Amino acid sequence: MSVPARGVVFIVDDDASVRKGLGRLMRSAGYHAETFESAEAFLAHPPADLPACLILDVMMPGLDGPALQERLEAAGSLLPIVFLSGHADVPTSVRAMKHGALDFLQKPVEDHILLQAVEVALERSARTRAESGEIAEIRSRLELLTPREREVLEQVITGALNKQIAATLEIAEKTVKIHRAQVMRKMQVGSVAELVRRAARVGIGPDTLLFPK
Amino acid sequence: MRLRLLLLPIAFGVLLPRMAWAAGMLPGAPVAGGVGATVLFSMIISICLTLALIYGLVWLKQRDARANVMFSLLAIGTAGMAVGELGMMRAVSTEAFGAVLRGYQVAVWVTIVGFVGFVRSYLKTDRVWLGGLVVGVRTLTLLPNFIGGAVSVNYRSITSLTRTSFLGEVVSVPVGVPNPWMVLAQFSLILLLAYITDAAVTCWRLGDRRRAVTAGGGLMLFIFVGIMQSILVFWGLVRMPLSASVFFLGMVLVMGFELSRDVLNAGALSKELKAQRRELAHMSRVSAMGVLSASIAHELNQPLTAILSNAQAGQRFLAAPDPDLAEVREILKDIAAEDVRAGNVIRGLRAMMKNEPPRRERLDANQIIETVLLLLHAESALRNVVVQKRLAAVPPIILGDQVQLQQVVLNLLMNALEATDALPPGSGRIEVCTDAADAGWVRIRVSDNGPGIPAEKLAGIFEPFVTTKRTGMGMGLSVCRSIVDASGGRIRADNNPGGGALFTVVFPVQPSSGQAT
Repeated sequence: MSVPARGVVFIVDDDASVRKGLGRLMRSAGYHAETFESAEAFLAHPPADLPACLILDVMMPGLDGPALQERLEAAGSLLPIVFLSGHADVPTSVRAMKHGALDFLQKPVEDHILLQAVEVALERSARTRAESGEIAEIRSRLELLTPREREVLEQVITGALNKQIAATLEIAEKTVKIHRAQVMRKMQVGSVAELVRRAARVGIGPDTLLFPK
Repeated sequence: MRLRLLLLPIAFGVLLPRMAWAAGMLPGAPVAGGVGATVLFSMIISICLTLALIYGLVWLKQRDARANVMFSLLAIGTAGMAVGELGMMRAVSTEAFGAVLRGYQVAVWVTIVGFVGFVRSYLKTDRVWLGGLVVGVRTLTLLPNFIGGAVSVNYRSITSLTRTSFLGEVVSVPVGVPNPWMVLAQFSLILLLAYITDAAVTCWRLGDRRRAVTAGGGLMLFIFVGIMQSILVFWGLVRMPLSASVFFLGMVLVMGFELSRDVLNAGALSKELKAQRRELAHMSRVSAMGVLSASIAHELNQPLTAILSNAQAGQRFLAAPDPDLAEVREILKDIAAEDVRAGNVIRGLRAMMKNEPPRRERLDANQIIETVLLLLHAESALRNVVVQKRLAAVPPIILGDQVQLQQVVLNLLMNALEATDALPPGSGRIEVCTDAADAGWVRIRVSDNGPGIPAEKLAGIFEPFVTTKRTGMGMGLSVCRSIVDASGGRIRADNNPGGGALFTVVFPVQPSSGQAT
């Protein structure tokens, strides 16, 4: 192939000819395509460690498209899904979109429409992968904090002053300062604002604290 | 066919008298001069007996055709009358004449019973009590006919026989003392005239004017003339032999004509019924296709999707600096194959929508099932039902109309699909199989794992308007049965031991040699 692979496109459709045609179209646009004849076959396949997206048929024997979407969602998958349906069914499409589908297209689909949806999906996949990498990093850094440092962090992000923190935790203000410096170092941030943002990424905010000030 | 049968008695009529004479079977001795009367009465006998035979056979085949057996009785009675009349004409002694006359009265009785029975079961507009009275009074006349010492109900005694010319033949005519009981016999005939007049008038009033005139009017006329003659002859007012059977033959012919009209009408009716059945089957197919339209559209959409993505992929491959021509060739091959696939769906659809007279051709039962499954593929996927097929390894060949047999399989499969609606999504299972069952029958079975058919509906499930569905019309299975019957097959419904319905259709197997279509 003259065009380098730009990501993996998974195709799940029970119709062999449709699978083959869509797979060819993806390869002609420079994507790596992998096809599956059923939702079950797709689930049995190990998830890709690459930017990827899923072109999913709605109507299939056994587990159908929306059911596969639910399974993936329940498993915490971030794989963007482009639905490709034989007939426009408003409730199905609304439900699919509510559950985070990226697009809901109708068969037969024009190449530029499908390829654009795939492009957007792969971009999103790359972004969520990067984001999930960042989150994993923040989480691992949080693990490094001692319980006391964690308490100090939670106080800092509420905007409390050292003196107030010392009073709340019933420790010396000087000790608070030492802990605070450790938190900033371990979390690799240079400012309180950045600390607040990073904490927020992993769901730690003023309103999630056990003892809000 | 019927006309040719009617020629038979005419031939008999000419031959019979001469043969009978030769064998000495006819009463009396050959008389010098013409034989006109003998020929005429022999013809009456043979016409009546032939008609009695024909309609008796119709009745044997079709036991509910009561008018036919009554007509037979009437014709036999009339033949008996003709035998009696001929016997009297040819009687050489007063004793012989009297004996024949007594028997003659029995024939008249049979004729009248047949007559009343015919009017009762054919016109159906008579008064039953009046008919009963006619038969009752006529039965009473048999008492003075056989007991009391008189010659018959007609004559107290016969004094002599005179010779007179009748139809160019010299025949015997009695001279005797009329029996007063004869009034009873003639009263019964007048009652009979009243009876048929009343039935004809009611028939006319009810609007069936044609029957009233031909059956009612015709019978009235011949009875009237017959009565007049018997009054004139027996009371000695006119000197001529009794020939009531001539007029009764007229009656027999009128009734025979009426009955044959019915037979012909039944033919036309059954033709019309056939056309209506065909129309119904067509409507049922069209409506099934309507129900399936969404899934058939989907079925077409699949090849169209494959064609479009293949074509556009091909364009992209060709636009690359170093196109892979082998891949493009594969693409073009696949596009052509997908086009054929879409064409097959359209062809199947068009065939089901067509309204053509059914043909009888050799068909592969497996192929019929495959074609229907093609139309139903998307529908079963939509309902998330797994359809399993188990087809006989050797294509079972049956005889019938392709479209109609596809319709049978389609109806059964659609019913099965609907039956699985009651189940949790994804658990519906349908099995369709063909096998060459034992004893020369091909068997097609469609079974589902739905709720089955309620026991009280199982027996009448193929009747029109019987349905187990809330929104069903109850026509599908009735159409199936009429198609299967017309193809010489049988269809039956059962419940699977493990739950769900099982429909079995069997057809006589055709030898697999020769070309299958």
